Amino acid sequence: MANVRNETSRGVPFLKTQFIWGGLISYSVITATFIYSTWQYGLDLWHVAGGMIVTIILALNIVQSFRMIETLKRLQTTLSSSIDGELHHRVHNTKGLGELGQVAWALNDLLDLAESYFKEVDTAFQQVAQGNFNRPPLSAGLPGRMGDSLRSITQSIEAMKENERLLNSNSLASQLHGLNTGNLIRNLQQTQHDLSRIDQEIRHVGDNASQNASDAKASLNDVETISNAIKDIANTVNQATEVVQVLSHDSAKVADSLMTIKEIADQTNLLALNASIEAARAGEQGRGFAVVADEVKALSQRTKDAAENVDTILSGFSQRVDEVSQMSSRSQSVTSEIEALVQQFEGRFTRLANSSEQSANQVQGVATVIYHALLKLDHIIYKQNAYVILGNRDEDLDYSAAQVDHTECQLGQWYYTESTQLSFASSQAYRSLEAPHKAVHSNIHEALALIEQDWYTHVDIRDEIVKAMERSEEASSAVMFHIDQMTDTHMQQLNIA
Amino acid sequence: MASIIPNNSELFFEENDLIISKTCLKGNIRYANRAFMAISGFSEQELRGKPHNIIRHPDMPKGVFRLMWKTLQQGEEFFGFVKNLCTDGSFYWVFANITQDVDSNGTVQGYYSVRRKPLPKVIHNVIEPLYQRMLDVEAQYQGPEALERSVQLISHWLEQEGVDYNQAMITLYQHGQIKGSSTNQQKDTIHGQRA
Repeated sequence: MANVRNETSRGVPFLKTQFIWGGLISYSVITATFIYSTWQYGLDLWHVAGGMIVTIILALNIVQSFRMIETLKRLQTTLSSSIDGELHHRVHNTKGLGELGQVAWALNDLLDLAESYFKEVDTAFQQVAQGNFNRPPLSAGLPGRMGDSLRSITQSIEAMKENERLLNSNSLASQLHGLNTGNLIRNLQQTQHDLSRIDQEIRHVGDNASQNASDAKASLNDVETISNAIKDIANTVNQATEVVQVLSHDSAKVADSLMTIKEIADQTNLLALNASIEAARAGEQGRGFAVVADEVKALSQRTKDAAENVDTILSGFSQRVDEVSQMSSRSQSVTSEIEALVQQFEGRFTRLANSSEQSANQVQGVATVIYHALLKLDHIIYKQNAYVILGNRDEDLDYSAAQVDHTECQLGQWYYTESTQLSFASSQAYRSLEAPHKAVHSNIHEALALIEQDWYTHVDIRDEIVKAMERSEEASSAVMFHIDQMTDTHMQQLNIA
Repeated sequence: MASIIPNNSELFFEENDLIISKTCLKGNIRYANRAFMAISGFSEQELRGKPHNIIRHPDMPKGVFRLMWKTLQQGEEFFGFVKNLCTDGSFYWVFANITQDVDSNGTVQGYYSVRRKPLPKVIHNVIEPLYQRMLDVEAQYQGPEALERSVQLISHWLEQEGVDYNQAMITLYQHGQIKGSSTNQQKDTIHGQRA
């Protein structure tokens, strides 16, 4: 640019050359005029004085002209530098140069404005490049289009800032969403597992119940058989009683017969005594002996009858004893039958009792699985609440759901209840549960505190939030693990695992 | 040069005036614009080649200039509210922005300072009380410790406000206060995001 010359001015000398030639010509004319007038008219005071004044004025004019040309040169170099993009040059020392001084100051002012404009723009965009959107270009003092331009840039930076915030907020939302989705699926799978476990347990309880029903039916049949057998025994015993009564009657008869035999024996004794007395009297031999002999004969007849009588009774007696013996053996066989039935019955009853106990345990186990599943579900919902608040920060949202600590949530309330503490006093899993559960809440609280800060502009705050939620999820996995372990231990204790 | 005796008369300049000066790396004035000369009362001859603290007011804490040099030497721009002295002893408050003056080769030639008109309520409500506390500290201690403690006072103040120094200064210049502006911006974004 600086080398391009205007064709119109080609061949026309520069101002400096013009001034030098003008000065030289003027001096020559004044000197020539002075020499000529002195030669023509002699030395005149007025001529000398006039020539001196004109010469001095001319000299002053030349000095000013040179200063003007110097200033013009500085203006020219300053403008050339500005054309080359260097805006920091200024024109100094223009005091007393009037219009030219005004031009110089106007150029300085223009450069001030231009330099300020570019500095503002540069600084603002440098800061934007470093992620700081809070250093807008300051438009005060910059007139017209310069000011307008800076105000437009400020608006653009605001738009960029909004965009950046939107991007950052989307980035946080997507990070949290990714974290949540992965863990939520895992949590739901666990819930699914819990539900299938409940289903399985309930099926066991159902199987037990139908087994119990068939056992009970069989037992009912057994009871009928036993009842018939017992009736049979009762009949037999009745019959035996009758036989024994007959026997008792017969034995009274035997006693009578034995009395008769005793009497006979007594009388025979007496007869024998009489016979011995008669024998001692010898004299009257005939008659006495004949009477005795008759009596003895009759006596022996009676003895014979009695003996026959006893014989008959005894044979009847033997028959009765046989009958009783038969009855007794029949009772014995019925009794052993009953014994077998009762054993069978007892077996079924034991099974029924065991099975009922098992059913009761299974039902208790299912209740535990369901209760633990509900606790886990509440824990999952607690985390979901936190994600919802982190994702959609709004004053209308209820923060309290996520702000409860590890003693206030459902799981915590259950954990710190006296009955829970007593029933799990010896459980390792119960003790291990406390620390990770506390960590889940404290890390979520940390994330909730961080979301209050200016995370839109600070990537490290966003990272901290995601890290806190990661720690919370990790602790949450441990919570789930320990609850499952508690469930397993409880099932083992119920002997149904 | 006879020292100027400060008085209580305050001068103001127009909102659209820019007071501009350039210094060498050491802080000696190389250029001052007409607005500078008009308000300060110094002529070009009186200013050129002189250190910039020719217009420093005794009410300015030294800690502010300590912070300024520290910031500039790190290659960052500096913002500050400064009370300046005129030849007749009166004063004027400016909101100064000082940046490095870099030539086309990228070497630092000196510093470029643009001063804009501050809001009087900022000076009255925030800056004067802060500077007074700094002056008290500087009077209480000796030598480098006085400066250290004076700068620490600014740091503590910024920690309480939760912003960095330049950010605080721009916000004060633009909004007249620090509190409230950043949180409002966040709320706007949330509504924008939900829309």
